[in-house]
Amino acid sequence: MNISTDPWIWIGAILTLAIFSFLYKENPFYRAAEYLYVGLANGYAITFYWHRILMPSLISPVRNDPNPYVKLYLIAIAIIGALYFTRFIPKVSWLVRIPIAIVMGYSSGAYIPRAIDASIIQQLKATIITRATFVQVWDGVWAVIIALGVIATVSYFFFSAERKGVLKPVSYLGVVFIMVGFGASFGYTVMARLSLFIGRLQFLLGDWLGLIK
Amino acid sequence: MGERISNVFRVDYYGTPTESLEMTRHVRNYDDVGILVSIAGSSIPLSWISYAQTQFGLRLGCGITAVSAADFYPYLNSGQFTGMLAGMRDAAEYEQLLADKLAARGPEWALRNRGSEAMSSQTAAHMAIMAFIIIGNIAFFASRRRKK
Repeated sequence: MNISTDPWIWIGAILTLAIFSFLYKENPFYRAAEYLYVGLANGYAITFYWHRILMPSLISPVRNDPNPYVKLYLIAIAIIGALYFTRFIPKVSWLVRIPIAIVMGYSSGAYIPRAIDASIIQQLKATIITRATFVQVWDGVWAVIIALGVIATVSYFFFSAERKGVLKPVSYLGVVFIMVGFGASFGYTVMARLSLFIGRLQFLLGDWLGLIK
Repeated sequence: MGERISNVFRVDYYGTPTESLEMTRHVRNYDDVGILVSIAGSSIPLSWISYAQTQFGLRLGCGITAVSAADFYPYLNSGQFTGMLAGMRDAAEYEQLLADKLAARGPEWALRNRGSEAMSSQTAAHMAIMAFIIIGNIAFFASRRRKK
């Protein structure tokens, strides 16, 4: 056993154990570690936005940019952004709609066309089966399975017709594909949570206690 | 950034103009980038698909947590991601790949294979969970039959 002498390792280990103590029951050690985590995360986020966004993109150019129009433009944007804080003043809280409307409008215009292309058109293209798909036999087989899965899953969410005739078995197949999808998500989620736990154990038994090398 | 990266990131943390840095001097926009690899614990790589891959044709790779893997596989299948590292299993595979390359350089380049080490624990835990799922299902169907 080769216990670490690094105080930071000890702090990390004690906080890890404090968080794990929740497995027994809610207790002051867990709560202290939780509040510390939330406080640190907020503090980090605020300093990150200050140093990486506000300073280089607003404060520094307003101070140093020789072009007065750039300064005016940035100040105007900063004022519009600051309108978010009117939320705290009931009499003028309606002003918060201005920055929200600008952000929503910009995001919709900038993102929706790209999202349609990236998440609908490109994904649909990937389900198209051509002769070239079967150059590698297994690629072809999987392409057919994926195309079947897409058609069956979409048919399950088709509520404009009663589920009878062809639609009934196809939508049932859709349920099977949906369940396989949920199963894959569940499996990967379990893997992720276990990875985190294993990582913590590696830290406790390796870096802290020195039991594993 | 598709037109000029320095329009978005004018200076680095120390206030040095990004265009004067050795690393970014020759990188004007996405055309000068061979591949972009986004390593994230969130859905950020999907934003790169919308903004860089679809619009500018930039090749994308991603390293993600296992939780997101099932959501991201369709994008790998469609070719929008050139490659993907999902969760600890893929991290261990990448680690092994890297270790093989570095081993050729000499023993001082040897890495501690944390990912590969953890995989045995991961596999054992998965086996246990699969066993619990099977036992749970057997118990469920057995109790249902008994009720009938």
